[in-house]
Amino acid sequence: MKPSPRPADPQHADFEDLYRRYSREVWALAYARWMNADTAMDIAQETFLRLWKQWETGEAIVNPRAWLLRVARNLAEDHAKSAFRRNGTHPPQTMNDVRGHDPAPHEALERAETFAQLREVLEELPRADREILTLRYALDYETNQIAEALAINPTAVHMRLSRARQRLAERLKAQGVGQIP
Amino acid sequence: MSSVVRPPVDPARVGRGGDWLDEVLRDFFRSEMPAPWPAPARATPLPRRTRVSHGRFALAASVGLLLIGSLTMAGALRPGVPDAPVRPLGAEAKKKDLRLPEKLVPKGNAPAVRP
Repeated sequence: MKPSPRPADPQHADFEDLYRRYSREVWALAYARWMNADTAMDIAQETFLRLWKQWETGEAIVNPRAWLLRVARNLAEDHAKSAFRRNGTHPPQTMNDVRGHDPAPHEALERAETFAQLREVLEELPRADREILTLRYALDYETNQIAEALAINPTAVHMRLSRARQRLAERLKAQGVGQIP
Repeated sequence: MSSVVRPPVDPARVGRGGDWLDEVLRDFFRSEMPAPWPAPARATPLPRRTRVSHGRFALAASVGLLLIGSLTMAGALRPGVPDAPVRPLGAEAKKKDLRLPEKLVPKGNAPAVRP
């Protein structure tokens, strides 16, 4: 048999498969914690690196999805102690998503402002609500998929999603955005 | 810091809730997602455990064979190991007839041991 230039490594294939299936969920949970896409991606990558290292030790992971999400949550919490927090600053994404000197067409500016308001309101929501909203709207997850990812009851997902949307609408109104009942 | 006048969000649409909120949320979260989705951080390939264990086994076998070989050789070359029964010496030898059998004594020679 002719040897392939890069021999197939089943463990590498498994790793990439897990990354393909769960990296967005991992990102979504980290994003829901920090509301920062880059930080969330760093956390997601670190989570998968840790998975790889865990495999290297030879320890089996019974439920990789649960393991990944748990590690991502822990890393997101640990991130609070990192330089990002110590510096006491926020990256551009959390600064209302406004890059003031960039010339932007009117529509793009309006969209950016809408997002900035939305971000402010989202940041005030409980983390659990943000997790559900991120999974629902970033990943387009259905209720049962969210329930699986968060290991909660689908009914609870439904209630929390509805409540989160309601809070969001209320807070947008409270900001003077929505005066009409 | 933003110097842009707010609000761009249409209050009437917020009041209607539902579709508009869904739409904005979807747009917002999707705009936040990295595109294209990055590949996983490149991890170094795992060492192949089977190959490692095969290598270790071969090494252990080689060392074992080397040890066995050296011990065997040392045993074979050790001096003073008798191949034949030890002949008694001194008084003990006198009691016994240590003469060679006649057939082994060359003719015309004196007996090997004097009485």
